[in-house]
Amino acid sequence: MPFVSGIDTAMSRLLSGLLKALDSDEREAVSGDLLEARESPSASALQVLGLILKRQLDPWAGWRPWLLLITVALPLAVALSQATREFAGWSAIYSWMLINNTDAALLRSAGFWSGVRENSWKIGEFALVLFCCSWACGRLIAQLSRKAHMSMAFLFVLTSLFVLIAGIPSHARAILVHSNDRYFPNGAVFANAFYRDWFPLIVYAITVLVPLLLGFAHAEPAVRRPKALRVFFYCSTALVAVGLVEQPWLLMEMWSWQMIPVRFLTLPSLLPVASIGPACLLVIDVGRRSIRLRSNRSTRWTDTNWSQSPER
Amino acid sequence: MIGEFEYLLIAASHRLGEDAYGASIRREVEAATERPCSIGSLYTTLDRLEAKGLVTTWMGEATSQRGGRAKRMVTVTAKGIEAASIFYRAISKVSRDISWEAQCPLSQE
Repeated sequence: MPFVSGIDTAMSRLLSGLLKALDSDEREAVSGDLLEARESPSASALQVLGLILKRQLDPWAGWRPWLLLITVALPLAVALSQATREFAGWSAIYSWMLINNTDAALLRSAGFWSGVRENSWKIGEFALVLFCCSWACGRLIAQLSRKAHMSMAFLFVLTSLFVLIAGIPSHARAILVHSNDRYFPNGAVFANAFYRDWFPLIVYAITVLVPLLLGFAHAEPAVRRPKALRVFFYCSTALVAVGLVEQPWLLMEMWSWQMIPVRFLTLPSLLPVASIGPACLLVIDVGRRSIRLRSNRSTRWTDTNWSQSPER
Repeated sequence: MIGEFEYLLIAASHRLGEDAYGASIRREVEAATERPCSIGSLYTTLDRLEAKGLVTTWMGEATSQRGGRAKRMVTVTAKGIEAASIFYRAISKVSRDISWEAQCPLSQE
């Protein structure tokens, strides 16, 4: 029965993927129990899925995850998502200018290529800034939410996606900021379905979703890091949070809703500076992981050679 | 007071003694209740019981019968025995003078 065996193979893969979500000791005990019970791969996958869901839902009976969700995860999700919307907006305009309005005469112009260089640098720089900030946010939330980190990640992604698609309540005539885009002076750009609907999602996936999940994966609460690194991480993440809060769009909203009873001020953007700390930590983390991976590989290679050696 | 499922786990672990671990407790509970016992309920309840100090658990040694995987061994503490006996006493008290077997329509069929 090739169909049945195909399902079993897929379920076995799913099962091993699900088992990875458990702590190492629990993974060991549960996979042994499942082997002993001789259940089918699909029944075993369901059992493990049930355990993961219970493990993720259990902490929500206490107050800690709720406090973290309301005070840290949701505000960061909204701020990060809105920053991505803003970024997707202006980078869509530059991209439209460079890609959709190019002809042979323009390609021969030195000024055009200077514009390409300048704008590409601007877009790449801010994408990198957002990438590092999202990574820091993911790692912070994973570290603080501990056992509920998967459900917290799910809620974070859900909220940020909602804000990306629907926008936030604005002082503008339309309730949602995003619905105003087509009446923007750059309406021609957003009349194009790609720049209006797909481009923000692509930018979100690259600059928020991927680094956020990386940050969650890099958190490893069981691994004790040096105190200096921990302090550096918390300080740089606090700076990222301040950088996200003092963005012009948020200050403008608060000012226009008269939440701030002072004259509107445009503050210098802190985000590029704030992203330096997470960028350094990201490089350190990736470096450590590749060294660990290489040493694991070499150990396995030595073991294999040792067991295959003819003298033994 | 502990719950019904918590009592089942404590009783099964105590009965099994040194052989009490995840899979054997699950088998014991399923045999007693004639209903499936999910791994999710088993392990989350064991965690809760351990947090309350009613059982202690530790990782046993790896055995070849389970593909070299270690077992999560369980022992009932003195506090666990006390909690189970309080539950049992309450159930026995509230059920005195009732003959469920005689009144159960399914057993009469």
